[in-house]
Amino acid sequence: MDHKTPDQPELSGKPEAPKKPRRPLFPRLFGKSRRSDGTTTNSVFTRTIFVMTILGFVAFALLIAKLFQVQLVDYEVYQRNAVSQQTRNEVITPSRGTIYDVNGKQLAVSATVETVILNPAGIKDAAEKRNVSEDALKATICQGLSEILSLDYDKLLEKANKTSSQYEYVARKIDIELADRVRTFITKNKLSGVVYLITDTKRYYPYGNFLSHVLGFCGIDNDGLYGIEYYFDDDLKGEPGRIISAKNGRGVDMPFDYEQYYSAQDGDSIELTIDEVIQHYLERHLEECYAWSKAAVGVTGIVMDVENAAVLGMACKPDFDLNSPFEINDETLLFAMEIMDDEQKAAERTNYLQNLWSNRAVNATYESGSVFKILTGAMSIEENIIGADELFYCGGSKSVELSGETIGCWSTHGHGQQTFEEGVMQSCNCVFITLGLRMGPATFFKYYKAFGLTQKTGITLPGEAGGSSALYFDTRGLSVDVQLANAAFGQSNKVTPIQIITAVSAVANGGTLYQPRIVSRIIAADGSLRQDSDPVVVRQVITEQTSKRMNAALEQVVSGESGTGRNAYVKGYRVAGKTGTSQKLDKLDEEGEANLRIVSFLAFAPADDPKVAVLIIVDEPTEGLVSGGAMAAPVAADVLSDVLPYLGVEPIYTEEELLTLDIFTPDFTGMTVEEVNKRAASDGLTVTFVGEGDRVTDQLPAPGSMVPRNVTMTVYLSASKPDYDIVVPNLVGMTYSGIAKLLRGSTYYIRAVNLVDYSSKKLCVKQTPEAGEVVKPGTVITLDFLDSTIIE
Amino acid sequence: MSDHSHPSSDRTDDSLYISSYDKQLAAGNSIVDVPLPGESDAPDATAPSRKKKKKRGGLWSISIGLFQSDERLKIGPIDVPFFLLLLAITVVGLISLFSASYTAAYYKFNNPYHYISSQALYAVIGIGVALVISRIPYQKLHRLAIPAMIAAFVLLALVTLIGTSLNTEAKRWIKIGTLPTFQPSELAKAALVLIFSSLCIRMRDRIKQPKSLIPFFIILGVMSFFLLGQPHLSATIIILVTGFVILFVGGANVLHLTGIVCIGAAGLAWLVLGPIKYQYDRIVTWIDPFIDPLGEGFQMLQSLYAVCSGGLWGLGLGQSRQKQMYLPEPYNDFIFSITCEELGFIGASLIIILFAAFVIRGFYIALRSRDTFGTLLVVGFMTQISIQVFFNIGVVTNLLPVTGASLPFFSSGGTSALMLYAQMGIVLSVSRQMTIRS
Repeated sequence: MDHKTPDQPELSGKPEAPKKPRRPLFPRLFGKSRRSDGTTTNSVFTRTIFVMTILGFVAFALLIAKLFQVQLVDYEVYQRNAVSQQTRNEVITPSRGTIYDVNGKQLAVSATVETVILNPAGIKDAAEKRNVSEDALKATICQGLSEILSLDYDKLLEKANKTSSQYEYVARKIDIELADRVRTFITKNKLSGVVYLITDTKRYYPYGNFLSHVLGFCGIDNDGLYGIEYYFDDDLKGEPGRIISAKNGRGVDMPFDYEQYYSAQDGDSIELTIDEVIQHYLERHLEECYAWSKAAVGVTGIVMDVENAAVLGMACKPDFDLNSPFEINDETLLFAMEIMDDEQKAAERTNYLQNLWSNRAVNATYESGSVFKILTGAMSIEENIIGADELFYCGGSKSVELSGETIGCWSTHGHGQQTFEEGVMQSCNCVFITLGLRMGPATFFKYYKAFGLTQKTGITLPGEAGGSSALYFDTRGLSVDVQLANAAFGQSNKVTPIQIITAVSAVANGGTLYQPRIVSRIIAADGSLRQDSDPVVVRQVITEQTSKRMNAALEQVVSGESGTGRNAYVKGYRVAGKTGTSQKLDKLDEEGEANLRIVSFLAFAPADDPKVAVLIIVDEPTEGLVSGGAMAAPVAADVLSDVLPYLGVEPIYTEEELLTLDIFTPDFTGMTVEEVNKRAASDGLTVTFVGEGDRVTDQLPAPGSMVPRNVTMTVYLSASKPDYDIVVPNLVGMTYSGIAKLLRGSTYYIRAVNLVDYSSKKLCVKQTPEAGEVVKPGTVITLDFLDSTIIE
Repeated sequence: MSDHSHPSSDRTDDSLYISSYDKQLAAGNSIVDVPLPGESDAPDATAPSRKKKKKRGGLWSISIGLFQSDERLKIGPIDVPFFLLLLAITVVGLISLFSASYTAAYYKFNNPYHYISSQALYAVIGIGVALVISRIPYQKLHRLAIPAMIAAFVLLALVTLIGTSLNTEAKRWIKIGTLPTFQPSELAKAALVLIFSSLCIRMRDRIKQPKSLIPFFIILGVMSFFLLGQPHLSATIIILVTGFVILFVGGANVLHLTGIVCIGAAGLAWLVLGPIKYQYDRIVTWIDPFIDPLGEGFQMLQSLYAVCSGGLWGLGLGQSRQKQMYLPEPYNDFIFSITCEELGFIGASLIIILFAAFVIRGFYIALRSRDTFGTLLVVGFMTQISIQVFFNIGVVTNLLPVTGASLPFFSSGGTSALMLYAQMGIVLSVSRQMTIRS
């Protein structure tokens, strides 16, 4: 016990006082202690004091306390709500920034439109002011608006009857002409404050389907929902302005000195690295490819500037119209949806649109297949694990030593003894399995990582996929060696198209990995530069020498006798590339087999000084010869043959090519023999003369026809050219020599677009004019050839 | 005629023995009840004489007789602080009403002065009435107690039959021809104070017995029945609280009162929370004002918006935004939320303190009253004012669920204002006979 209680000194200091009986707190409050004379007057007094304390002090103190709490402590929510109901906050929509291509071509623009708003709460006041009944005024408003805007009268009346509302949309985003008619209606009927217009903007895409997956689109509120529109929404949309004005409980504006005006800040414009011309080439050729390959998923293509990883073109097919992105164009689906219930319909619709909108170049990963051998090859050269003049043996399959598993090469006969370069050229799996196993998983993964495949590229597009640090996506629990062997030729590791083209660009450009870019500049509304996106070097992955050797090997893929990329040949250009054909391991076909294929070709040119890379992917082709070399390579060649001259890359023709080079036939009409010979000599043309006049009266082919330089023109001197109908024969499926044989002695001129070696085994895949067309003698038949012996 | 109304034999009935009063004062009691001659006798003794008087004089003689001076009643000056406080509250109330009603009056009647002009007139008349009534020796009001009560009952019964509703669903008003509408509940409140005070004095010897409480509770019960039927919750509460306070001060046994309060509280709880759920939605919106922001909780929420917008200093007199057609009827029960918005916490607190000072000064008069009857009258009237202020501001600040109590001297309303001033007149009358502490 503590004895030093505060009481102790008192107790010791003073004599203990006798204990007083405890007095009750209010002795007479309850009337128990009556006074001796029997009156209760003091009780009345005490009780009045008691009541006064409660009613005069406690009650009012409580009120002040509560008032303190409400006004000075917990006021925020209420005050905010009060202000929001007391003010009209009219938003001034900023103009959304424009999206340009690299040359300043407008790809997405905003146009001014107007939105009609009805203030049903204000109808009552307006009706009182002009002495008409509320219903009559409602009828006037609804009648007028429904006529001008062709809206349903009853629906409009429904809105007008929501008298507690001050803000009902009547029509959104109508054009100026219609808005003017509404304005006239408002003025005529003195309806300002009841019906009013606000300025709004609407997004237009002048080229419809063009660049749809990259550009993306906006919703009704001008919010970017997809693509660049979504990714750069904050930059594009700008800052909305506001007019804040006070209003009373009936929505009528209070005197205007309450008003505050904040002007809108228009959005920034985005300049893409995409070149509209290149994009057009890419889209055109992809469209053709999609049409004949009937790819179940679709085709994807990327064109990239090898020197800084700027994306020059990026497209997926099928595409969609950016001006109506929600429209379903698939007849079969529309038909099927007829019999679905709403829930199913919505699910189907969402699924369809998600697939349609998906930019597979960025949003999806795939098995890059043999294209990946470019990277394995580069790693091997860099690590110097290929012996000088080393020969690799391929017997059609390769067994992985430690686990005893045998992995087959695509060529079941085997490629026999071959150098590294030949292995690349023939896309031999065994060579790359050997190299992969030789460098070991650690080294392989080191480069895999260095090429940026374990990370997203950071391209400024939404929903980028990939970047998994897992190398192997098969879950069968194979040994490390087997996994590595598979990964070495690209059969198991899934990457995005943008990742692989960026990595290969690094191999091609001398070893520097750049971050892929799709936006080159952000420009403020006043024209000033807000952000310039310079090329971003990620790292140096391989040396220049490695790059050179790899490029040379890859050029052989296209130009070599047994190269798997022969179809990527472009006249006058040294094209390097690599085919890719891979099995989809994680998706089975209808029969439950892993038979679905994704074929691709990655080309870059010129091989000695790479400028531009093209990746073409055909996802689940259902028709044609399913191989990257046969399917994707020609598309890559088509794109390159358009893009390279556009980029100003001068073609350098071989002697052979020069002979077959296309030329526009000159007009010899009216010339003398001498003059014709002189002109023909300067153009390198051969001419035969028919007739014996002084002057040229006719010629075959007609002036301005495109023919190879090696044809012999026929010039008529005072004679007329033959004029009769002939039917074009079917040439598709024949070799050049076969066609030449067939047409020997006929009046046709043959123009082979992508063929130099006339003894080639390539087969004709396309002819213009088509078989069965009726033409005149001297017609030029243009032929496309494809090497269909390429299988992987 | 007037002489007949004051027969000397009856005079003792209501008057006092001054000498006895002086004696008691000398004895050192600050408050002194001078018992009426009848009081000490059995109640039956006074009854016959009352009947006799009514036969002779009637209502007319009573009202004339009220002003007849009685030499034994020493009439002093009114209590100036109380009167000044009354004037101050009147002025502040009128200013508040003017500001709060301005917009609504403009919209409703195209005349922003609609409410303030009539209310100011009622205030002026009211103060005059108060001063006139203050000259009536309040002891004479014993006579008025029963007639007033009967009149109140008749009017309350009438209102259930022919009552009209002005702005709410409740039938609380009587409107006859072009006469100003009249709210019988206002009369009932005043009559209750009269009859309870009077009964307490008459039954002072037996007040401790439980059965003495029976007449009180019959009166309370009948009034509550009529008022709840209108329905008029705030008036019911005010009547019940006032009645209990008078009984308490008048000397009733606290245990009896406590018991009845407990039974009443339990009954009320059952009424609200039980199967009937009487006024249950008010409780719900009180707990969460946002629960029905456009329906049941609308006015409450708009009131809170106003109060919370005020902050410390307020938006300035006349600057309320909530009165711009947001808060319905800002000139009635919710006038104080506009005051809070315009004058802020500081201004609103000062007004509350003004009311507190007024009520406390009233109780001071009660404590200094010459007799218990005066004490009970003043306690009754001041209790009413205090409760009404408490309930009104309590509702405005969401301390209490909505009851429908108006703010005395602030809310618009003619008859209620006149009744209020008349009651204050009686308080002033009591103040004229205050004892002065030596």
